Amino acid sequence: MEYLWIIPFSPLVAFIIIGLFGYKFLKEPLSGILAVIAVAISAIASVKGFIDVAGTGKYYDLKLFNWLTIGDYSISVSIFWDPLSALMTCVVTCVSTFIFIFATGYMKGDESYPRFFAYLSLFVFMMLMLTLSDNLVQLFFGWEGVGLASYLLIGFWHYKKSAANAAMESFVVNRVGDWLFLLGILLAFTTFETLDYLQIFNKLHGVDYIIVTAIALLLFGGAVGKSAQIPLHIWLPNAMEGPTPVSALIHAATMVAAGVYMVARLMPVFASSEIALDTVLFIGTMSAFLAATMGLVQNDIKRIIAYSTLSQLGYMFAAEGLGLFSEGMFHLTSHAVFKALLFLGSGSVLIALHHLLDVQKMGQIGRLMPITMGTFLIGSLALAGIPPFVGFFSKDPIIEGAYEINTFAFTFLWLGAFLTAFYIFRLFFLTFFDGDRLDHHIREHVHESPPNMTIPLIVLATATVILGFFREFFINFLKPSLDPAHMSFLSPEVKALVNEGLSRSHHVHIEANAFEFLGHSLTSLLGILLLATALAGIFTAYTIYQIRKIDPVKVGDMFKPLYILFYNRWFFDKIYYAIFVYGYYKLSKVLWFIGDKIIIDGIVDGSGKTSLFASDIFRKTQMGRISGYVIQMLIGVVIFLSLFLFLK
Amino acid sequence: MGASQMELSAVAFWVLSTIAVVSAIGVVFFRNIVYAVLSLISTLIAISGLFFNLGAELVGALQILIYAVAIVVFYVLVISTVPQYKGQAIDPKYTLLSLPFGFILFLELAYVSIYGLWASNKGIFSPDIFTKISNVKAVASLLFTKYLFPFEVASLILLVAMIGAILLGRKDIVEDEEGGQ
Amino acid sequence: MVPFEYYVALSGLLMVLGFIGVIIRKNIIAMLLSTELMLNAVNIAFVAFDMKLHDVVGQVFVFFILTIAAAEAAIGLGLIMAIYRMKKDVDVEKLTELKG
Repeated sequence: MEYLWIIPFSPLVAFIIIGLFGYKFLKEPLSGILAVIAVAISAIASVKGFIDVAGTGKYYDLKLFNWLTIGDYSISVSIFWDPLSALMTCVVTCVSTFIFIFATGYMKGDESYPRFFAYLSLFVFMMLMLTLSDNLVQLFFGWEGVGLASYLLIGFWHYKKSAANAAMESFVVNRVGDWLFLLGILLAFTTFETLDYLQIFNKLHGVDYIIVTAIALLLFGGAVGKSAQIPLHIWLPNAMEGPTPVSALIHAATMVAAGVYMVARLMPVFASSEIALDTVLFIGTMSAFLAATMGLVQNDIKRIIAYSTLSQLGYMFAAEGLGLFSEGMFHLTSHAVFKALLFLGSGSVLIALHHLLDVQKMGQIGRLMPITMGTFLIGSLALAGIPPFVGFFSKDPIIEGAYEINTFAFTFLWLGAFLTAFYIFRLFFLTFFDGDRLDHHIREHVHESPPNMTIPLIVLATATVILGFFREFFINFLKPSLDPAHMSFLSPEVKALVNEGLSRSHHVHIEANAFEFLGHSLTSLLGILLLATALAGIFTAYTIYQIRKIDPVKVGDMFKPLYILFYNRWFFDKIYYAIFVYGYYKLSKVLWFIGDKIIIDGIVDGSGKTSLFASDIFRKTQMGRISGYVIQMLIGVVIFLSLFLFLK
Repeated sequence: MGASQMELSAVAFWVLSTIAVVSAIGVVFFRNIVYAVLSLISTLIAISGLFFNLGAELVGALQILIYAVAIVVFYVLVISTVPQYKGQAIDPKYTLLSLPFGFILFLELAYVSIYGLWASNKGIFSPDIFTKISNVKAVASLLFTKYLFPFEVASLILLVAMIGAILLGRKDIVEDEEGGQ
Repeated sequence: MVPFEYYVALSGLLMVLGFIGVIIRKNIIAMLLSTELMLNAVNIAFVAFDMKLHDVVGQVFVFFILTIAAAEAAIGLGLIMAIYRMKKDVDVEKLTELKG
């Protein structure tokens, strides 16, 4: 299994080479090709590892070297290869490969071409360090590293002020989450005296409930920041300032999924605490619903998809909060595929329309870009949850599970599904069909994208179609990692503890086999309801935006307060600005006034004034009158004599 | 010494010291400078009497010679050169400040002298030697043997002082347009 | 004989009187007079100690003090003459050059 070390280090080597020699020797398209090859090698290695572990269900814990020793415990650079990490790594590397290929076309002509691929390779390396880690420190290293790479890539066109601001915002908001994550790590270390996953899992049953809850919540805080859940979601829509491949890779498929992966990886920790699972469920559900409402009224093509990402991440966390970890991971996988597809499709559209982002200004380019339109349609259907696409097989189980476990969650997830179908098809119709709002100059140049962009689209679309039918394979594949009964690295006491934590989902039975699931959905009341909801969403979008039977403007006026609320993204931005930015600014002013002006200037000026004042007083002793001097002598003599007499 | 002699020396002490103190107060508080000088003379003579009372004849005589005659003449000469001082005799501010401290100092000195430790130093003379040789002889014998060098230096100092006084007193040194006093 | 401590106390009294005189008199010549007073007080103390300790060293020292006092009085008065010629005043307050 030593070949597994190729997986993270291949992109690292690519980063180093492109970083050092990119501008000199590896001009376009060489650096792109090098990056693609590096990631492809990683992808092949991970697929081989995936196959290896699929049959046996064993896990491997490989350590490269000891990085730091603290007392009894030493942190090492290591690979933990079990079904869950294998799945995540495969998703990351395979999706990255196709996105990289797409990017060679998308970034054509950009003068910083080598830098882009260097950063992308760095990102993949960091992400892989995260997924392959077997301890919290390496996880955190990867965690921070992807934050860094994200910052570098969002602000790739750094001369654009909006991009630089967005990059800064993403980093700062992430930092809030990372701070909570770090506190969680510290608390974990003081509690367990180790940071290795396996050792932590096996010590879980002895720990206080409150402490485990605290650790889980703090770590989840990091996930909230990284995966852009409410309330730390504000950075993700602005992160769309980066190039589209970046949005596809980082903010759809991989980095934002790191939070979901982390919760799944640390499933025993979360399962030990009811409160933690409830929190995950609540925040996931809220994000799913609120993000969907925000996506309804956006006009920027990438931002609509970004809100969709937020919403779907909410679904994943909701699944984990419900105890359906395998379903959450399956949805992560399918989401990575079809969201990357949607982003790449939008990238294709943007290239064709010369980076025009406003959906209200597009229209009727479907016939001119058939491949893009077709693949985009497949992606949209998947997102809406229409069979036989993979979105149906991954999202509907979550909602059905919610119905059995928690009604509150079910309500919001169900409403979210309706909104999801609606907004994505709104986007689809406005972009590819509907009326002709496009500027004629641009229309003349609209054509289909070159093959290095369309082939990834086709591949991803194909995956979207067939992946759903592998549902059973995935669920069984993940059992050794996420089903307590099958997790061989847990001791019996911990297995019992985790089983108890997951008891909320024990009575839920969702068919693993795809065909059985499909059959069940078409026959049960719940399944029909969900399917109908999705179709209703699509139909509503069709009615309003395609055939224009209902005027969207009138609908907007009817629901004006709601519209304003959604359009302003529930005023999160404004509230945060008022509290943090403005508040901090005012606080700085006050501190400046008190601290700097009054205290420090006071001390400095004050010391000057004091010495002037004191010298004024002491000046009086040297008046030039002899009598004055003599009297001082007298006083001195008296004082000293008194001292001698009375201290004797 | 007989009882009457002891009484005499005691009486002499009290009388002379009273005169000395009263005259000293006069020196300090008289407004007219001539009165002050006269009080000083009185003090000096009283102190000389005290010296004689103690049995130190040489310094007693010298005191009168040097102080009561020579130095007082200096003062009188200068006073006569300077016109009458027309201001206040005493600065009230400083009076207020110094009297308490002075009083405290006096108390402390009195305390020290009355309750202080007296190391019984054995001098080179025994008590009854003074009956055999006179005080003058005794002082002179010490002065010209052990303390000869300071003696010579003292004469040098006097010489220097004389030269200094002459120089200071000359009219050429001070630019004096009006000339004279 | 009166106890020697009384002589020393007297010396102290005269010393303090002289001290106060130096402080409070405004006429510079009178200040010098007070200084003479102080010197005399010291002389009394010396002689008193001398008689108590049956020694003559104190009187030798008084001898020297007398000498120096004479010299000092001469110089001091010479200085006063010179100052008077310059400032035409013997008020100690007017003789200061420092500005309060």
